[in-house]
Amino acid sequence: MKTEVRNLTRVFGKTVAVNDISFSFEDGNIFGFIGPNGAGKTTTIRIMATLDLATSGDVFYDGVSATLYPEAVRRVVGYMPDSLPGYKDIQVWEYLDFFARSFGLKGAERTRALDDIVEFTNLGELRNKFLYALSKGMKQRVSLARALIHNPKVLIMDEPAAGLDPRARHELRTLLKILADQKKAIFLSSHILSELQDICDGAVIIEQGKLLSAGTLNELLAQVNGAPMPPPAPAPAQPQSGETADLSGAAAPPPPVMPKGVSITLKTPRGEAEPVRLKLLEHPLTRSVDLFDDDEVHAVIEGTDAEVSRVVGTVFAAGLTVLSFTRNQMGLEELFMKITQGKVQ
Amino acid sequence: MVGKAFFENLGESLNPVFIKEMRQYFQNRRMVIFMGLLLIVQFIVALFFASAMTFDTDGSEGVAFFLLIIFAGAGLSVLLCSIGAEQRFAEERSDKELNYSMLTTLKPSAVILGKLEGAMVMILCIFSMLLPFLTAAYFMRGLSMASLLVTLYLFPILVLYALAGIFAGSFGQKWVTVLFFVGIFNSAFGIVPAAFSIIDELMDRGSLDTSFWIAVLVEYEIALLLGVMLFLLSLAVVSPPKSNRLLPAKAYLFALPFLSLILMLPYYIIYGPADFPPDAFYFIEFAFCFFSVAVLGIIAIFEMPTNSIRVYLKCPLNFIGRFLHFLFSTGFSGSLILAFLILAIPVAMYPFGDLSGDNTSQVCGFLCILVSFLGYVVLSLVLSWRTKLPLPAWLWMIIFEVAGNVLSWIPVAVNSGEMRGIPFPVRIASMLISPTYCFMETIEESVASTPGTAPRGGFFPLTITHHALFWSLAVAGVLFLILLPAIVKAFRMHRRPDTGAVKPPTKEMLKK
Repeated sequence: MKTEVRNLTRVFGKTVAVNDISFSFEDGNIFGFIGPNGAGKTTTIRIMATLDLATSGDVFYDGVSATLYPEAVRRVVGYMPDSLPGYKDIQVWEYLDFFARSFGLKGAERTRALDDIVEFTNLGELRNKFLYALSKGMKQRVSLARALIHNPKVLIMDEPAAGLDPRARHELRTLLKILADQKKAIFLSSHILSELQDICDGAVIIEQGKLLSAGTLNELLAQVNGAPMPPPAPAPAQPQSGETADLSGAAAPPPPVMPKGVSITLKTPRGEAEPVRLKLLEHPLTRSVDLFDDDEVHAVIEGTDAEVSRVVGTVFAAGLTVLSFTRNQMGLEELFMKITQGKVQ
Repeated sequence: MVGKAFFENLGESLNPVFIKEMRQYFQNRRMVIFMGLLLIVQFIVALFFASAMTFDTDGSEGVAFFLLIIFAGAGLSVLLCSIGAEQRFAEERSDKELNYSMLTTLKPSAVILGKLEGAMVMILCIFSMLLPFLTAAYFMRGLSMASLLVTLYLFPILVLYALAGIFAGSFGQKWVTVLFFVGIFNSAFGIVPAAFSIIDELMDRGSLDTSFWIAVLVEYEIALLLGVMLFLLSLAVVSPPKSNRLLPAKAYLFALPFLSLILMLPYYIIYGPADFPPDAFYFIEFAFCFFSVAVLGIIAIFEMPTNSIRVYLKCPLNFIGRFLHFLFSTGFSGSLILAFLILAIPVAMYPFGDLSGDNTSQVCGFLCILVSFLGYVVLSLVLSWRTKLPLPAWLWMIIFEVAGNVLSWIPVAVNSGEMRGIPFPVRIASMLISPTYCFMETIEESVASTPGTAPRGGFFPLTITHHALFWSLAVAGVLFLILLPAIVKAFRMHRRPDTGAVKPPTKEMLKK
């Protein structure tokens, strides 16, 4: 299923919360939605989830308009907001049962859906607990179960990891990866950029309601490292008004396979960084190499962890001295800091 | 096996909201505490009555105990099924992120219906719980079958209270909750004494004659007509934004003056044309027209001039279909045209009404109030949409109503004959506590004291006589003409758009 946000604008009085943004993504992938507070993330997400209406523009799910056919869209979209279920006097399974019934699931089909989702989100022990008695992490799991109860093709999540402890965040990450493997498209906003970098295939960055950058993670990371784009890849970043940034890369035929770029830092003895840089540049998987002072080399290597090890191994094989070798985790955060200015509307 | 399958099928066919409501009612601690308290108090009171009872009395203990039980049950029903439903629904609706009517494929009608079903079942539960005490009251003597059946009279009133709670809760706004509480409190001054007097009268009959059943039937009819109105208005509030949310309510309001004829039918059939009260037809028809026009006017001031693409998409292509769709669709133009069309019914009937003197003046007075009200509506819309003054129409309306009507009534109300014997601070306090009651009392008193005239219509500084009515109509008509260009423009825009490449959902997408 292709999700396409086209020229979306939302105006509240004199405030333009979302200003003509366009992007698209397809199923089987996880996409991050990044922006400072007040950037228009939640407004965009609410429109995508049919909770709000755009002033102009629209969101299309396989070409079906969310504005014109919200009921049809709700069948294929699951929405997990940043607020948590606050119903009183209702147990976890009753809450999920209510939503299952509300989506028209009946009899054995509903029982199966409930059992599956309770098992998937590990809510078995919480089935008979009242919602008000749950911790934040537990409520997040209930919220995720609620969003998935009708087996949607697209899952939209607003700050799903906010306020979760490290273990709960790890569990959520694992669940999202499983869902992506099940060919669901996942679109999530988050402030925890290092986590997004670990799980996302692409990202959209907005500020003051405007789209700043959009693309696969490799393309975005290449921007922060100043590397040129690989020739076959489309250039979706900073789309012009009316154009759609295709995050899945499906717009340009044939679709490019974009392996994740890994940013690494090699520490060398003082004055010995240049030979290391030259050696890395010889390798075809190296996307970019930069020198910092005369004892530090920053490089972006295309490929898996094993391929990155092989590239670094060529440096050792050449007899060059490397004091330490670090994988950089902050690429997306650096990009975020670089291209946003922290302005709110 | 057949029984099990039957109950499984029954469970599947139930409204999801109803199931949720029932679960919440029975798992609510307050609910359990209040019901337990009711039982304990009833038990203690029953013991008290039983100990005080002597067998040579006329059985008044039975009547008193009976009334105590049914009013305690009614009070608890209002508390739990009306105020309780309002609180829960308001809480659900105020959560903009987890509003299930916007997240699921549930229809708005299913949401309101589920809530109503839940409240009705709870009212039945409360009264079922009181059955042993009602039986005890029967054995205390003094109660006829007619007395016991007056509980039938209470049920529609309680359902209306529940519906009012659902309607107020559907807004999900605190200020509506406050208004609802004020309304509930105020209604105690009007509805409770009225219910007492009707029940008292019914109980005095002793036998179940035709008039008893007609009284019950008419009350059920009125409750049904009002209940449907509240249901449709709740539906309008709960419907998705920019949908054609007011279409059912407007169609119903338009049909209401004609449905009122059904209300008169039982009377007419049973009593025949000879005994049918001559003024009844005019009064009931006028009352329903007034109600429709007033509600349409209130709706109009909250509406926009144009509609969304969602509404236009369902507009018929032929001119007549398009005009009818425009008339009944959301948007103030349709509401105003409908209001003026319905207003034409009592205005046309007025000269031909064979009314007695006092009734003529009352009808004339109310007609003038209604015309001036509609005039305020049009003026508010003109000021809001045709000028650059930055106030919404509803705020203009409040200004006109407060300045024109409410404030002008205060000196009249304060100096009314009924209140003259009461100290001034108490008079003011009583007005604040129950303005509705005070207002109605004053109107009646004013009409009674000046035969041939009626209270003035508010904004227009006229003592109302017949010719004043036509002045009011003329002013309202002129104001409507000022708004006409905006209405014509709205109609021009009201057509099915060309959606071009936008494709409708496939069957696969709609299939669960």
